[in-house]
Amino acid sequence: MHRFIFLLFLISGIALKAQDIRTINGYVYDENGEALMFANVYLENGSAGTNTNEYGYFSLQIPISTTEVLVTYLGYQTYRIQLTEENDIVVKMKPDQNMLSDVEITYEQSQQETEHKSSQMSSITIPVKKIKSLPAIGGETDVIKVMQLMPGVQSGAEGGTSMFVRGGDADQNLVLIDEAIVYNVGHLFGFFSVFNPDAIKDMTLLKGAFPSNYGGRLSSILDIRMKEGADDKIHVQGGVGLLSSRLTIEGPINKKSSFMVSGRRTYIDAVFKLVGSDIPYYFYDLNMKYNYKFDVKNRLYVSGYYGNDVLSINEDVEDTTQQSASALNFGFVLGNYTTTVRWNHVYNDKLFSNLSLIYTRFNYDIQGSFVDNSLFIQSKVRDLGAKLGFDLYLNPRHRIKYGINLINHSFRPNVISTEGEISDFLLSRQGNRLNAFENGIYGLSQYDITEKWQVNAGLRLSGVLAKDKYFQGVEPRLATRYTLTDKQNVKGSISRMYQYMHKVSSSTVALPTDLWYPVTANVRPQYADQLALGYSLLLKKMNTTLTVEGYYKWMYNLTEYREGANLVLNDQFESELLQGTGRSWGVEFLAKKDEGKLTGWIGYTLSWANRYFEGLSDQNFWAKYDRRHNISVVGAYQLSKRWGFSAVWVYMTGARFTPQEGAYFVPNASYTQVEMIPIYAPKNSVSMSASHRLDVNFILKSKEKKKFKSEWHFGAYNVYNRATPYRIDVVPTGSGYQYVQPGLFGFIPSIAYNFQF
Amino acid sequence: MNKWFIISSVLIWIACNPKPIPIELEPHQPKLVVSSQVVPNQIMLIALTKSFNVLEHNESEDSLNQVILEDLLVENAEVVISYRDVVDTLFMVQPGLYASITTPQYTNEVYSLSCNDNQGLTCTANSLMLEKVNFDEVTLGEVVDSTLTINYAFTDIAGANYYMVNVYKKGQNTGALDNNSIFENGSNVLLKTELITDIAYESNAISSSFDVYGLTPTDTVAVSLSNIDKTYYEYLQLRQKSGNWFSEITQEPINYPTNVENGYGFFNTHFPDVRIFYLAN
Repeated sequence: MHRFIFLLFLISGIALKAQDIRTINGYVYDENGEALMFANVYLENGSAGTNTNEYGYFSLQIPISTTEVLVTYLGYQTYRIQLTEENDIVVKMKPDQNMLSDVEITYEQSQQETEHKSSQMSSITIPVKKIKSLPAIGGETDVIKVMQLMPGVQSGAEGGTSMFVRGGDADQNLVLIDEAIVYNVGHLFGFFSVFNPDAIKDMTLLKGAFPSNYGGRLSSILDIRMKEGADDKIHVQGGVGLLSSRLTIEGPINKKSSFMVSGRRTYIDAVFKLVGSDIPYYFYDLNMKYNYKFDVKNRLYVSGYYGNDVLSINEDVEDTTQQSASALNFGFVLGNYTTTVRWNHVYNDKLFSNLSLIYTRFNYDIQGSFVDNSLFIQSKVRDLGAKLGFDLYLNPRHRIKYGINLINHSFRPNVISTEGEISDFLLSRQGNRLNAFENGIYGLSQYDITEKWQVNAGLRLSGVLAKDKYFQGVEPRLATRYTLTDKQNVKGSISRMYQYMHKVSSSTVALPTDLWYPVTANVRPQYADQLALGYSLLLKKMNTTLTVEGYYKWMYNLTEYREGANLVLNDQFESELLQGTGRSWGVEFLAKKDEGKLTGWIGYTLSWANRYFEGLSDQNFWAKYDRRHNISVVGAYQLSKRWGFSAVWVYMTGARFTPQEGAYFVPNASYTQVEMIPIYAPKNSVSMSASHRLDVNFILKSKEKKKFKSEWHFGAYNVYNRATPYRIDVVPTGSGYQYVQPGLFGFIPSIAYNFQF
Repeated sequence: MNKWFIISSVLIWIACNPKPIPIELEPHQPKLVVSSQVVPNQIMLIALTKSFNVLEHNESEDSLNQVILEDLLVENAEVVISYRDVVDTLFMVQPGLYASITTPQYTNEVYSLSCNDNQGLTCTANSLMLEKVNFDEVTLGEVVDSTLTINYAFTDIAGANYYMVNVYKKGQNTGALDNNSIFENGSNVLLKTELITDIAYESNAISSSFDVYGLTPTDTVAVSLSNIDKTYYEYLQLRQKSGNWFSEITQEPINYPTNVENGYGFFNTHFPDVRIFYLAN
């Protein structure tokens, strides 16, 4: 099949004369052997160049007379490859010690230049090192909360890990870790993301202009890659915080293989036990990766994520009916597990492939027992999938990607087993067993039509077979960049995305029992069209990029629930479900500085998002997280060789809410009692007050010459202790009542210690 | 040591708890609220109250406060029921309660209600007086561990119909529970409302059973059957869905349906068939 697509794209290819050129190919790694994604590989005169793919691989056709090729990557010294007859090249970059000085970064060295020149727009890549230097609640670094600081990404409730990207819903984000879907991205009811920053190599968020190798969600793709494991020596790093500790070990096993193991556990339970209080909750996660280099053309990776939230209450409770104490046991386990096996293969100097076999499972188990009653509830989603993708480097101006994705989703929601009197109220049942087979085939052509004009055109054919009903979608994708000057360019994109799964979740509160379900004969797939236009200005002397992007998104077959729908443990949710439309539009501004003593960004989003659901409202209503203004100012400054300082200030319009405004009394159905009936305002008609917050963090590093390196982080969240409203309460004032908006988190100081050797 | 740790932690937490931010919302504009009751061949009653702003009476004051209710009762309103070109003006029995003893009760007749509180609030409503449907049979099991099983059967009439079966027990401080006085006893205890739609049945013979809880072997129980209209059926369905604290937290807000134009509540004209059971017998 790849030959068919190959031929399709070959038609538009431009071939160089074989006798004038040679092709070099290989991998670019950092000093520890981690593959570097999007490193620049080019000729110094600028006549040819490329960048590495997501596995660090590159292929470049150059004139046969070329003697030297340059490789650059943000934070690393420029590497000069002196060419020999050997075409297979492996590059190991060394860190740039001058990175923190404010010297001008040369044209070739700037990573920002790569982003600036790319036709890819609406993407965010933040180095994990940068994320770790920023302030965080309780000192717990959280990659998703940093993503929420970027334009176009709205946060949900304060401290939560939900993302609402360009007016989309929380279940419209495809979150991948080493290509495996992560269904539940939050620990502790969503207050901590499941991603341990020590185990992550890089992460990219796409908000639009989706390349056709991605699909399955309407609003964003968050692609997270785990570290592969250093191949030079054993490295140990870790951290001790107020709420959790982390430890990561990575290193070579032999000359051909290396490993990485990273673990994290909270000790909320242990801390409270020390002071005589019993909060039997904790979470932990474990990331593991192993890679084996068979030879320069073949490499195998095996990686896994394993994380659980655990609550376990065991205590004696006075049983009034038995006049004695009886054991109460209650608890839950929420688990995410992923396993990915990847095989990178280089067929020849122009063709690279990756085959991934993926297993994902998300489940929750709730169990309880008291006297003669017992309860067990289980739900799970299990995916088994395969992805085969090819990168074909036709010539320096034309690159093709194509491949196929297959996933079998297996759902087993709400398996309930009860014994005793509780079984009168909650009947035992096996739950509906559901299966959905999702598939996608894609082709993508990246073509430099002229030196100034690049086009990225792709097509994805997707489909799902669920409950004997087959749905399919045709997803055209087009992105283009035109260079106005060497400092300025304009970009545009249009893309269609289909989504074949949705989360059954109340909009009022997110619960761990929220479940994913596939489309059915009655629930059609969601799809969205997005148009985006952008302008990018590179200020080389200031190492700064300014971007402005405008977007308009049309969303169809969105899901919402009828008034009064109760979705908890409800297998018959389809009768409660409504499908409707949505629109969102806005402008995003971003000024970003990645290099020098002062780094950071200023982001501003002006946006609108609305919905229409027949049966909920007879006219359009605003989406819950329709926040009109969103500003984030993020800065990190290197005060001295040992001291660093970072701060985050955010401002955002309040989320929308449906408050109760009145009530009335009426008799009940039998006229035996009077009931009070609430009256609500029109759906999402009230915007809560705007919120703003300042977080700071000081970093003290150990002396540079020490082999054992450490950092102290002294931070504070919400420095001026202002509430970020998350609901509306009615409280007495003495003379009457008043509406108030409480916040969740006030001023929270933190201290954390990180080390590595 | 431990105590000091806990006390200081709590103090820090309280000190750092951010002060809630006040917010001004559009005040609720009161509207008339209608509820009605038909005593077969005797009387048509309309209760007229006003809706209120939650800043005047907080929802958390769950019990019906007499002072609040007195504020909300609509006195000296003009309440009119019209049917077959006849207009009956209801008289005020007491503040908020209006009655007509002369209005005949015609099955399948549309009754129109018009209310004016003479202070600017008006509302209207229409109700089709549906045919009365009687039980064919109601049988009760024995009370076991405070649980009673109720079996019932009735014959569905032609068309798409919606029914409710109510079970309630006599309150401790109420008078005799019998077919005539049952509607006058405001503090009896509703045990269950069973909602039935004939769509679920292939034949016109409808029978089923259900359990009610919280009974003793000496209680007096009433079981009633009413043929109700679809909007009221949907209203009761929504009420049942929001019947517990968990659903209050997790559920979407509900704006309950009403058949009152420019107001709230229901103008119902259904007839109940009531059966009384003395469990001790």
